[in-house]
Amino acid sequence: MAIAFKWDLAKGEDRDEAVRRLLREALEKGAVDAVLVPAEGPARTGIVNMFTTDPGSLDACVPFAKAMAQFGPQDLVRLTEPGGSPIRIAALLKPCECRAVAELAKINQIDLEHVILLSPDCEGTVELKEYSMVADGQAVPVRNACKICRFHVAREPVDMAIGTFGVKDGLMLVTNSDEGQAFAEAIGAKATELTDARKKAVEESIEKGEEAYGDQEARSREKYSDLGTFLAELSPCIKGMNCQNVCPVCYCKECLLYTDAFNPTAGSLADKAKRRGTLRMPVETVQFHLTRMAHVMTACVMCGQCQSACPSDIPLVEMYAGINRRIQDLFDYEAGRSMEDEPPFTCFSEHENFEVVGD
Amino acid sequence: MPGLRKVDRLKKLLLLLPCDEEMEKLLDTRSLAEEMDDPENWVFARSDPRLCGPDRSDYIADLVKETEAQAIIVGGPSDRTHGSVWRQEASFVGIPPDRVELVPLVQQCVYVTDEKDAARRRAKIMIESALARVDTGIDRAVERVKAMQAVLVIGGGVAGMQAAWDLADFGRQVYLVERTGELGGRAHQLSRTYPTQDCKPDGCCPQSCRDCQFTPRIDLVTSHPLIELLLESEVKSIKGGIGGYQIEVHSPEVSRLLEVGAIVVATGNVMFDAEEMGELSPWHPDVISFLELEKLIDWQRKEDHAWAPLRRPSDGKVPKNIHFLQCVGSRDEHHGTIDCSLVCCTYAVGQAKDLKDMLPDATVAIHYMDMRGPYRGFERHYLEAQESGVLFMRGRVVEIEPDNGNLILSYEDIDIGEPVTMEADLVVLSVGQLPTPGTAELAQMLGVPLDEDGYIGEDNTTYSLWDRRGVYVVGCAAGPRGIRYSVRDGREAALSIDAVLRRVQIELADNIAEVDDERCVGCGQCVESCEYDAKTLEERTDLQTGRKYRDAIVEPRRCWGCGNCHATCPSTAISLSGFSDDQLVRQVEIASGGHR
Amino acid sequence: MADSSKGKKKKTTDDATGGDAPKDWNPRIVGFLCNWCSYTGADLAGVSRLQYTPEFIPIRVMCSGSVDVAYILKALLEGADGVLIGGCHLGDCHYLNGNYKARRRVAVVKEVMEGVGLDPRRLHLEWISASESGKFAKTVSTFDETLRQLGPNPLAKERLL
Ligand SMILES: Cc1cc2nc3c(=O)[nH]c(=O)nc-3n(C[C@H](O)[C@H](O)[C@H](O)COP(=O)(O)OP(=O)(O)OC[C@H]3O[C@@H](n4cnc5c(N)ncnc54)[C@H](O)[C@@H]3O)c2cc1C
Ligand code: SF4
Ligand code: SF4
Ligand code: SF4
Ligand code: FES
Repeated sequence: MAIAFKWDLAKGEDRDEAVRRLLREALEKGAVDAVLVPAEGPARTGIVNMFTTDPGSLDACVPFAKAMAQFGPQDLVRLTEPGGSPIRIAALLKPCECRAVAELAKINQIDLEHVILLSPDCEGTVELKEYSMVADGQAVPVRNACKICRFHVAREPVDMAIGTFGVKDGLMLVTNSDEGQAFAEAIGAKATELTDARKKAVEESIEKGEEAYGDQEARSREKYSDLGTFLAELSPCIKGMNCQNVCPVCYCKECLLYTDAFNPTAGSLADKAKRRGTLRMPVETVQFHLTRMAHVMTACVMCGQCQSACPSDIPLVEMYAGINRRIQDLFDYEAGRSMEDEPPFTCFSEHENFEVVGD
Repeated sequence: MPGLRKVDRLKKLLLLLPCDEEMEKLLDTRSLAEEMDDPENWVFARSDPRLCGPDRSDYIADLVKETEAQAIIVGGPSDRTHGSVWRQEASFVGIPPDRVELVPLVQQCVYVTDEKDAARRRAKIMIESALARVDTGIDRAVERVKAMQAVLVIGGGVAGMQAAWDLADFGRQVYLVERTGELGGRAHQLSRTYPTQDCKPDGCCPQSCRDCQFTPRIDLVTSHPLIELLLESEVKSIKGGIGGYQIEVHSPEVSRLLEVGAIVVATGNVMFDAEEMGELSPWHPDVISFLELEKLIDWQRKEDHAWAPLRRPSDGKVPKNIHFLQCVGSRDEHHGTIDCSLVCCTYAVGQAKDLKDMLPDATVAIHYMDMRGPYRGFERHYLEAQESGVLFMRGRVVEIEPDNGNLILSYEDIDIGEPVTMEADLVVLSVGQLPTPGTAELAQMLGVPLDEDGYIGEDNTTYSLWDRRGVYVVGCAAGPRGIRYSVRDGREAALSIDAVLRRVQIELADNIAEVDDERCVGCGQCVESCEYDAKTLEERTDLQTGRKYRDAIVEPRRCWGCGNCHATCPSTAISLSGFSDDQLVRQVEIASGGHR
Repeated sequence: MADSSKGKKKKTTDDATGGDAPKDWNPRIVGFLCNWCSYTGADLAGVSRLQYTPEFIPIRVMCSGSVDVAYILKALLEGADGVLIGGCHLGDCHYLNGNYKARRRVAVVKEVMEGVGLDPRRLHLEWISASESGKFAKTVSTFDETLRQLGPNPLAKERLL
């Protein structure tokens, strides 16, 4: 059950500052022991994640940053690894990052027991390298993943959404869990009603997102109905595996494409070259991308980090948009939707039928 | 073509069997062997009639000596049929089982097409694939474990009692867990069991049938010092595997943890409930199942302390018109099971004859599809019943309608090929037999598969449950059977268990999953996808850094080697010996044909 | 669908072990057959002298549920025109339900294939029991027919993948 709280702006405060104050309160009142938040790096040229227990250091924090730091969910993996001290952490992440956190928590990579997930409404982010332009006040278009995002507002299992959509003054804190509610109460937020304006704004953002995604999905399917397009777009891939490294839900220690099976010995490479005539080096670039799609699409939250990290500007988001929702729909699954949903490859239902047999 | 030497290869002996003359006409194995022989690349190909003769083993031993072969590839038979034979053959020359590959040229290659060239080409691809398999295989030592010596028996019917008794007699500690408050099971609910040893109910036998000298005696089982009886008890959880099972048993007021080396499943089975077959008026008091007939006879006996005539339930009248309906909810695609219950014909014939003896004026008829007596002696039993006046009518009764205190049966008589109706005043349904409720849960706990019809698979031909799991399914728990077979099962299981647990160490099968710590991230997806609970996540500490991490571990005694965990693990942290990524990827490359 | 138009022109083929004569193109099928059902069904098909395309190359696996998605994709990238996965009928999997899991994986791979412009019909999942030799032969033949219609796998001609 969503319960709303009010967080008014103090005099002269903007929304960023209001959230900073909220986080300071949380640390000072002992609602949590530490926070993981986005902050401006040196010279305001980029956004990084900051982990701190010191309320005084929160000045650098930019809660509504127009760019997304790297590795937020992965940081939580590290911070909550087994045997760590059970400090309570408030993690302020973008809605898509939070959904990735949920995916990782389902597969034992993150332990959410001592974590409070906070997520501000997100209007989209620009490429990290363009952050300084935004910071300088220039208008920079958001990343294409954000243009087709369906989840600008965090829902369950995020403990608390920090709402701005449909909220005139101040912030509306919408909690989705007992922990979120307790947190709101601990920092002294006042309970309030979820306003119609808020509800409407959230609905609208979802509708708009669905529409944008739907359009992109249709365009992607059209575009990639020809294998040539896909292969052509992949041809500048350097197989540096950045996409895999930054992907929050690609959690293997080492990708299987690095194993011996896919990295033949000198002898077998020569054999293979003989067999095929030619080999692209390093081998298995397309294999890597296709396998990654098959492995990751069920958990992919369409954050677009993969594409942002790609030095060759391969339009991965466009490629994934054509299959992401379709694949998750097969299993009535939605990445990050609920902690109750089991990851699709570990379960099945006897009644399901994808009509793939004999077809 | 002068090939580059593969660094990871073994010396391979390729044996193309010229044993199938018909096949030889389509694929000349001798010339194929000549073509594939490539000593430089450590492929030693031979096709020789000696491979099909009595001196095969000697010939192979010579070849292995000559070529120093480390692996054998056999072209001809299929793994499914001849795998074990050839692995044994290889073991004679010291080649381990995972270095033996069979290429099913007979089954899956030669006869598939009329084009000789195509068949030969295909044979070469399949052989190449097998050669690659051994070159990329993983060597693994066979795991051995020490065995606990006690045994758990679940179910105290005749089968379970026999197993418990024999095992205890061999000097083993036995825990006998029985769900109900008493031992004996089904057989002890029967007034008489057939075939009798020429004994008559009013004869000279000092024992009642239920304590027949051929079944284990309850008092002996109960008083054996090595048998611990746990009545009104349930097995709650089973961990571990052969040689080392940990069992949690709940008895009234106490819960125990038992450690045993093997488990006997003797949980019997249950009767089909005819309720769903409304057309037979199963609700009618005079339409009874054979178990109810037993109760009637039993009651009658207790009341009168003699063989007083049977009385029917509705009004206590002595029935004059008794009809047995065979195969109700058995051998039926729509109700109960398609299987035969194996004992109903025996039972009905015996019981009908006894009833006829008891009530000479009554009509006693058996409606049957076929008479099935699965043992020597049944025919005599059957003839005697016919001679004593029991009527045998072939055909399935499709309807029973109550009529004025009596019952009207409609059926098609197969012998005369016409629909017939007939009156009865007591109908006995020989109902089918189904798995005991809870069998699926038990199988899950044991980590053994169910058969398609819901019984625990009793003995699978290739993966022998008997020895691989230390789980022995006996008596009706493995499907319907008569008492003597149930008892014999118990005996056999006791013998097998004794033989297995007696070994100093138990060899586990080599086809099991293994987790690579370096690659595992502890996501637990494999744990979820293993149907046999062979996998768990374990928290570990890196001894060098003190860092804690989670890893999946395999309990090799529970792993069936299905490879499902392997396909689930995105990190390919799991390998299944014989089906490693290296092997499969190479096979795929070869099978795909390269970029043609 | 996606790549069907590209298969018009006849290509030459070369067998994997280096055969020399150029031949008309015949679809190459890689078949992952589960040990307990489909592989045995295939054995029976041969014993029963049922015929199907010799371009079908079997790979024995323990269970359809053990077929890694990477293998399926690998086969297609290596130039196989089609991939067949044969498992036990639902409910009959020797390992209880590996085939259900296989079905999920196949569903995903088919979506991925379609999403990049590879015809998903190049991947075929079928339940074939140990006794269904007829079904086995028929499945391979029908699949062969479908692949003939689709033409050669367009990835096969790409040299630098
Ligand atoms: C009506 C009828 C007539 C028959 N007539 C004949 C005949 O004439 N001749 C003949 O040879 N055979 C006959 N049989 C077959 C004979 O009864 C069986 O072969 C024999 O009883 C099987 O013994 P069992 O020990 O396997 O199973 P059961 O006798 O069924 O014993 C199983 C025991 O396990 C217990 N149990 C079940 N589940 C659990 C659990 N989870 N935990 C603990 N305990 C459990 C049960 O309570 C029961 O005591 C007849 C069967 C029926 C039904
Ligand atoms: S695949 Fe790309 S879009 Fe999807 S979760 Fe990973 S980084 Fe984000
Ligand atoms: S699925 Fe793979 S990575 Fe995950 S726990 Fe199992 S072995 Fe480890
Ligand atoms: S191979 Fe894996 S999934 Fe199969 S039984 Fe073994 S551990 Fe379980
Ligand atoms: S064993 Fe055949 S599908 Fe699982």
